[in-house]
This record gives sequence, C-alpha cells and structure tokens, in this order.
Amino acid sequence: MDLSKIILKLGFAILFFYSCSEKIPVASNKYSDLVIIFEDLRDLQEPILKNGIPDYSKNAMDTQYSQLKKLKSRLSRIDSSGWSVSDRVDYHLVKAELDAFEFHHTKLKPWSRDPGFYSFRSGDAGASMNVRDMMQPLYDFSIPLSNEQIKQFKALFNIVPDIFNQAKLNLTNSSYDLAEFAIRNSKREAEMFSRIAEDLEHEHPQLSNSAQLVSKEILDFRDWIIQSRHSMKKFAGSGKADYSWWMHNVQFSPWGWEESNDIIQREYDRIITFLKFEENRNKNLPLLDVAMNRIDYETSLFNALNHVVNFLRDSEIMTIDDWVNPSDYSGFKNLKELQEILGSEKHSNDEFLSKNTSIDTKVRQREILPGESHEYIGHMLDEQRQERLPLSPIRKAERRFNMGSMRLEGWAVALEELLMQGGVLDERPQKGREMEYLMNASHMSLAIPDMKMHANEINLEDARKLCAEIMPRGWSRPEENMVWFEMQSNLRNPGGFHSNVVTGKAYFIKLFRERATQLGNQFTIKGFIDDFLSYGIIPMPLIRWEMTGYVDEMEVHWN
Amino acid sequence: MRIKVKSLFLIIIIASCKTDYSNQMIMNKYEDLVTLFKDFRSLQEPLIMNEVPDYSYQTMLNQKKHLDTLQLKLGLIDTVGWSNTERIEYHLVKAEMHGLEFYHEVLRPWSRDPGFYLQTQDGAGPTREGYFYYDQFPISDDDIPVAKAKLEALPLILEQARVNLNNASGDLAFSALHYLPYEIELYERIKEMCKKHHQELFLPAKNALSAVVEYGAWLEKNKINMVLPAGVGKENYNWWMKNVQLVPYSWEELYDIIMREDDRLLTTVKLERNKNRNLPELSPASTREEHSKRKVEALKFVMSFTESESLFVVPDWIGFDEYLYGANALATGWNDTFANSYVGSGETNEWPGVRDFFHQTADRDPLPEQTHEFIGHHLDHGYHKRDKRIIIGSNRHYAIEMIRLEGWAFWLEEMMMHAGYLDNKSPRSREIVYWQAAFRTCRAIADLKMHSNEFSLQEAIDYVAECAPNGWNIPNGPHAWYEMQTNLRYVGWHMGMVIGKLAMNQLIAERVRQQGNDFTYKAFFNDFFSAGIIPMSLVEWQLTGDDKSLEFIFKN
Repeated sequence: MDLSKIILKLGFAILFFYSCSEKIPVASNKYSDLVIIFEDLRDLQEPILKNGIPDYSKNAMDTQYSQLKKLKSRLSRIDSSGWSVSDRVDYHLVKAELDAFEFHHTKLKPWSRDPGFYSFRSGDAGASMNVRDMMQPLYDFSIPLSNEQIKQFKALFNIVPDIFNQAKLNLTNSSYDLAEFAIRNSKREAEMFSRIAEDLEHEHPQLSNSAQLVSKEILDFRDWIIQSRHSMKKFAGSGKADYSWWMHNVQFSPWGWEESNDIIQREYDRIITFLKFEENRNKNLPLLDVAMNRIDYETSLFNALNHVVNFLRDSEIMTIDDWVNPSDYSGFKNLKELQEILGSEKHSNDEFLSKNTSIDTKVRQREILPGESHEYIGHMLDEQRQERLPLSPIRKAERRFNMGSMRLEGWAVALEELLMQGGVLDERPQKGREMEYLMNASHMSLAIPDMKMHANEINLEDARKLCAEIMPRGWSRPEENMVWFEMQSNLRNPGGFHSNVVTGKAYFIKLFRERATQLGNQFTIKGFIDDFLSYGIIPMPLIRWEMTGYVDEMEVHWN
Repeated sequence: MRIKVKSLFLIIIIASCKTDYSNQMIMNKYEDLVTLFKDFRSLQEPLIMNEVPDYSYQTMLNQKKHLDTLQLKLGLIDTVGWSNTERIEYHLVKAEMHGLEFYHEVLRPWSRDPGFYLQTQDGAGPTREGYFYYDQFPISDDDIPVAKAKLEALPLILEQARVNLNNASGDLAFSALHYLPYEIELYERIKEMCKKHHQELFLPAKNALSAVVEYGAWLEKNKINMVLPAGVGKENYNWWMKNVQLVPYSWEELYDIIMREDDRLLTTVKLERNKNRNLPELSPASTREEHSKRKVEALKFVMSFTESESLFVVPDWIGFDEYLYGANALATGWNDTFANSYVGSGETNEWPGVRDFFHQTADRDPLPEQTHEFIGHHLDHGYHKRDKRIIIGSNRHYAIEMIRLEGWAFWLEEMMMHAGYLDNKSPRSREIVYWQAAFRTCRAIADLKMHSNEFSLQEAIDYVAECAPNGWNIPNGPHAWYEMQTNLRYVGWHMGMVIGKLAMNQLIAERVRQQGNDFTYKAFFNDFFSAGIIPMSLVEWQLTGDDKSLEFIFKN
C-alpha cells in the first residue's frame, strides 16, 4: 500500500473519530458569509499597533497567525458547491489570499528574514511593514503645516527608533541578498527624510531636527545591516518547491517552477532567433530616428497612443469604450496643446534623455508604440476599467500578495507582440519591429535570473550580471537602477515577478487558443478580448473557468 | 527503462566471465573508438542465410549479448584530452548503442510489429532486411539469381515472422493489416512482370504472393491475441529521448512545450487572418501546369533568397533537376488511395484528385513546403553524402538523426518568413506557414499520447483529422495513417519535429549569447552545415564548444 492510501485511510479514520466525538459546526452556503470572511481577512492584515508602533514581534505574529487559522476554519465550513461559477471564483480569491497570508506566517516570515521589510517607503515590491497611513501626510504637505499635520509628523518621527529596535530583534533569519536591497534603498530613504528636514527647517525647526534624526536613524540601521551581513544566509530564493506551491495556489497557475522555466527558456530562444532574422531582414534600411528631447518623445507617444487606439477599434480587436481617452495617459488634449506647452525653450531640452538610458527608454526613443501600448492599453485601461466594471466587492478590491501579476502583466506584455502580428506596426518604420523583439528579450533577461534566483542557483550579483549578459546589444548593465529594481521585484515576491510576466503572456495565449478552439467559427478576437476583460483583475485560470466552463485546472483546488 | 536493470545484470555477468579486459582498461585513443564503432556497425548487420534475414529469438539474444560487450568496452574508453569533435563522436556512438539496446529491450520490432516484415511499410518504421528491390523490369541477367533467391526467401521470412511475433501489439497488427492490401498489390505486380519478362521467376513470385496472402490471413486470425500496447509508455519514452535522441526533456515537459507552441501558432494565425481580412483567400493551383510552374518558381526563388539575404548559398551540387523529377516535386495530381512509393505515389491523371493536408497548403503556396523538402532535406542529404568522416559521416541508425533533420527542415518554413521570404507575396501566404506549423504540433500531440497509451492508433488518426487546421486532413486518410504509424514505429517522430525546431532556436540563442553583436546567420549556417547530421545537443556542443548541452547526461 502506498503512502497516499495510508494517509487517505488515516484521514477517514480521523474524520470518523471526529464526527463521533464532536459536533461539526453547520456548514454555511451563503455568499454573504464569504463577504464577511473577506472583510475580516482584510482587517486582519492591518498592522497590529503596540503603543502606536506596528508590531511584528513573535508574540504579535503568533497571535495574528492563530486568528488567521480561525478565519481559515470559518472559510472551510463554507459550502460553495451550489453557487454560480462567478461566486465560486470569489470564494477562491478569498481562499488564495488566506493561503498567501498563511504562507507569510509559515514560510516567508519577511519580518524576520528581510531587512527591507522595515522600510518607510511604499512602491517597492514584496512585503513591507504597514506604515502606509502614517506615511501618507509626508507625501503631500505644504508649509506651514497645520496643527493636525504637526501631530501626524511627530507621531511618525517618534516611533522610528522603536521600529528599528524591534527590527534588530525580529531579524533572526536574514538573507544577504535581501540585505543588499535594504542597504541600497535605505540610503535613498534617509535622503528623503533629509529633504523633508530641509523643507521644514525655517517654519518648523524642531520638527526639522526630528526629521534629520530619523534620517540618521535610518543610516544607523543601515550600518547595522552592513555589519550583520556576514552572518546572513547566502540565498534568498523561495526554492523550487515553494515557488511552485505559490504559483499553483496563489496565482492558480498550472505551471510550477520547472514548467515555467521551460516556457521562459523556449520563449527566450524564439525571441532571439526572431530578432536576429528581423535585423537581417532590415539590414539595408535606414536607422530609426532617436527621440532625444522631450517634445519629440512626447509627440511620438501622443501619436502612438492614438494610432493604437484607432487600430484596435478599426481592426475589431477590442471594443473601445466611450470613456477611453489616450490623453489621460499622454497628459495632452491634442498635439497643438502639446506643442504649445513643450515648444517653449524651457522644456525643449536635449538633456531630457541621456544617451545612457535603460532598455525601456532606449526602445521607446526609437519605436514607442509597443512599450506604451503595454502601459496604456495594458495597464491604465485595465485600472480605469476595473473602476467601471460592475463587479462584486471581493473582485473589485485590489488583489494582494501580487496575486494579479500574471493577469496584469501577461495581458499587457502579450499586447506588445500580438498587436505587431496583428498589424499595428505595418505602417510604421519596419526597423521598429526590432524594438518590439528587444523589449521582449528584455522581459526574458529579467525572467531568467528570476527563475535562477528562486531556485537558489545564483545570487543577486550573478543575477544582475546574467541579466546584462543575455540582453542583446549590451542594452542592460548590471549596475543600472532598472536592473537593481527589477531584481528586487523578482526576489521579494515568493513567486517571482518577471517570470510571471512571461508565463502570464503564455497563459493569455493559451486561453486565446482554447477559446478559439472551443467556439470554432463563432470565435472572434474582439468577442474574446472583451469577454476576457469583463471578469476584472483576477488570476487568469479563474477567468478561464468562468469563460469556458472548463474545470480541469480547478479540480486540483477542490480536492 | 525498467529493463535497464536486467541489462545491467547481464553486463555484470559478462564482465565477470571475461578476464582479458586488463589490456583494454587503457583504451584512451580516438582510434579505439573508431575500431569499436566499426565492430558495432558489423554487429548491426543482420544475419542473412539464402536471402532470409534471421530475427529469431536466439539470434537476437546473441546480438544483444555482443552489444552488451561493446557497450562495456565503450565504457572503458577514457576520453580525457580528446578534442570536442572526438568526444562528440564518442557520445554519438554511445547513443546509437543505446538505440540498439532500446530496440532489444523495448521496441523489439521483430517480435512486436507485424509490419516489420512487410516491404510496403518501408519508411514508416524499422523493417526487416532483404527486400525485393527490383522495380525496373526486365531484370538484368546478372541479377536474376539474387532476384530468384529473394522471391524464394519470402515464404520462409513470413513463416519465421509468425514464430517471432510472440509479443505483437494490437495496434501494430491493426496497422500492418491496413497496409496488407498494398503488399499484395506489390507482389501481384511483381508476379505479372515476372510472367511477362522472366518465366523462371514466375513460380517463385507466385509463391511469394501466396505467402503474403497467407501472412495476412494468419494476422487476421491471430490479431485477437495481439493485445500488447503499441505505445512504449512514458518511462521508456523518457529513456529513449534522453539516451538515444539526447533530448533533455521528459514526456510531461515535451507535452507542455509543444502545447505552448501550439497556443502561439493558433493565436498568431488568428491575428494574421484578422489583419488579412480584406484580402482574397489564396486559391489552389487550378491546373497541373500551374502547380508545376508555381513549384519551380518557389524552388528557384528560395535559392536566390537565401543567397541575396546573406544567409547561405545553395551549392551547385544540390541537383535541382534530380530533385524536381524525384518523389517530392512535380506531382501530376493527388489521389486518396496514396499509399507509398512501392505501389505508386498515388498520383492520378485527373487534376487535382483528392487533396490531403499538405496538398491543400502547398497547392495554395508551395514555398514553405518546398523549402522544407528542398532546402531542408535535399540539401542536408547532399551535405551528408559528402561528409567523409568515419563516424559522423556515416548513416545514422535508429532514427537518431530525425530531430536534427526534421527540426531543421520544419524550422525553415517559419523562420524564412521572419527573414522575409514571403514579403513580396500575398500576406495570406503567412497563414499557410502557421497552418502547416500548427498541423505539426497537432501530429506531435498525437505522437505523445499514443506513446503514453492514452490514444490508440485509430484515436490518433481521428485526432489529427479533428485538429488539422481548416479540416484539411482527410479523416482516416492516407496521410494520417502514414504519419501516425510513423509516430508509433519510430518513437517520437513528429514530436521530434517540433522539438527539433525549438532546438534550432535554442542553438541560435546560445550562439548569440556567446558572440553578441558579432553573430551573423551566414557564419552560423556555415558552422551548422559543417557539424554533420547528429543529434541537436551534439550540434550545439560542436558549435558552442561547450559541453553543457549534455549536462543532463553527465549529471547521472
């Protein structure tokens, strides 16, 4: 008898025993109970405050974890079997968020592993202590401060020493590579508080001193990290098993580490091959113009966005709703306005784009459409649509724990190449196609190190070098900010980040294909994409379930 | 491979019985490998007595024992200090030996596959030696004795088959029975030709025909007992891919990789068609003359294209006319009774006859398919014929080269499009490229599922009719039959075609990574052609000079 059978039998025995000895609480089958659990889950994620200080001590975390288990138990008593697929999708969203939160308690424990957890900035990838509300007043103030603001500033400044004292106690299991990010980021963070100190200097000298003190405390903590580094763990990756668990259970991906890695490697091979053929094909064409000042750059952006929107509408690729307005992104109502504002000497500055820009800018300077279609059609419209869609509160809420990354990035990045195949660049300089392939190659140059870091095959330093090595034309360098920043997104998310970009695209294409096969002659691209976007920002395998009715990928979550 | 344990045991027995290995412990010269390779080639030759090849149990057992000894010897060779090419040849020989090992331990076509004994099965899988090759009558006087002996041998061969086929697979019997009428037709023709030209051969020919008919009857009667699966199973498939084809992926990984390729192709063709929606659809060649004209134009164009684009120059020796009037070029028309080269190509005088999948695509635009056949296979064949290296230049066995050959040819279809060979044609031609490619992934999935025994042969044949783009594959038609039995009998053939295409991309990505901005396709193709017809991971090693492409083998 194999182990699984023994466990199964044992399970039955336990169940039998349990049912004899204790009364099982009645299962709920009300959707409204799910909503309450979801709200409680969001509340539970709010910081625990002890004397006004976010508390990530062992005791506090143990308490939070035991409450989490209670929530989990409540969820497990919900019987969703008779619900509509749409409601059941919501159930899985809540469950996955609970599982992700639990993973933070059982495995990730960023409060004890990642010095960058004690960062005051927001906007970095991964988990950080929750001081969002306390930091808010610092991002938007004018001098002189109101009494209320002074109070808020003081409250924040006062708790900083305690936060770092706590951090030093909690960080019992730190990783070297995570420390590297924290060391790098904290310098900028200290500078941020110094700038605040300067702003406050004349009107609020006392507060200014406090802000300066905060800056110093941040640097002291930074020194502490530097000194402690030698005893930290070498690798910070999730490991293949946990990476796979995360992708399966939080993102609902059918692909674990090995499958994702195969997808990324084959995609890299393909893109490099295509790029080289495209270059060969275009070898006698004139070089692309390079936008080197703001007015040229913004003009090309303005034109590209309008072109892509018209293209999507005219080619019947997706419905362009009345509320869609590229000016939301470009910031200019029309070209006339753009020229009036940017045409003045003040803005027409050749220094706007240095020659040594990152890959993202380099491609945009030459052919802006694919990259900005990603940002505008992919991300901005996604966000604007999410506000307008009639979705349940669970679905409307922003996904936490990076749960939406395959959907968000997969959709946006799929647009880059698919729209080119669909003809969006046909009337533009042909060499621009090389820019699309280079952007694509850059996704892979970030995704391959992502996979290797999470498999703990390479450390951060090697990952940055690898990124530069596999990016064609030498368009990425190990030391540049973009590479540092993106490696951070990779490593501080348990399921990586740029790997999700590539597998997300693969999943989108898979779903496209499956739906096309399912509908046969009834399939239209526009019908598919409109439908795809109507489910809101949720993991794509859940969209697939609701869209196609296919349950094969979900069954594993029901057993 | 489960049986591996058994063979290991056998090696230990042999090793323990032999005492004269001490001298051979110091084999470290390349010449030692060449000697061993020649011994191996002799071992592969079947025993033939009076034109009857011997596949009896005892003979096969002896061959296997000798193989064990050769493998043991190979294992004693120390390649330290050898050049990359020499080490590559070592692994090539090793892989081929694994091929024969697999034939003995798993495939055993002589005891599993009734089609092994049929002449009209040639090309779709491993078959017996000793065919009656005379298709030109009258036969010259010098050849008459051998022709007679061959005809007289056939009843004995088929008699032996009934004894040997003690582990026959149900689907392989099903396949053999499907093709049996063609075998009968072939021998009927031979009989008629003998009657007309060589009275002394008439009786042996008549007996040969009777033997074929009787073999068919025996098969029909006994097929009920032939129940073993035709697929080799995932575990054996993995062993074959790793140790013979030198492919680093398992069945599961291959399935995923191929499905993703399928997703990409079917999605892209939808976008392509959306882009082309206002253009007229391509129409198939309406006359034989038009068909020929389009094909000749395509062939001439592709030769000039690869040269003008600085990719590679097609050498003069390629033999344009030889190709043009060979099997692949100027068809007279298509016929749905198409079987194989032995009983005619299935061409008919009526145009267009019935079009199977590739007739549908190539009659609309022949360029992708002709590039596959001409630049892909014909050029490869020419290079290989001119490769005089003893090991690399020899003919490969056990279809160990199929992934390299088919991968390259198939890869060209789409990649030349990205290189621009369709730029001056209707964009609708691009759809042809994607459809042909999507049909390949469809066939590859059928391959995988037959070998995991999820699909029977008939289910695979039905599946490819269902997933062929535009319904262009004739349901239960000749193409599906031929290619699906190829999958079964040459394990992994169509899967290999797709994975070979992807291996080409991988090879290029590796070279670009090494060479950076110095990479050119011209230099790449030059190196690629020089590497020889060997598995792709060995090609990669040859080109990059880095043996990491075989890491998955070294690890164990």
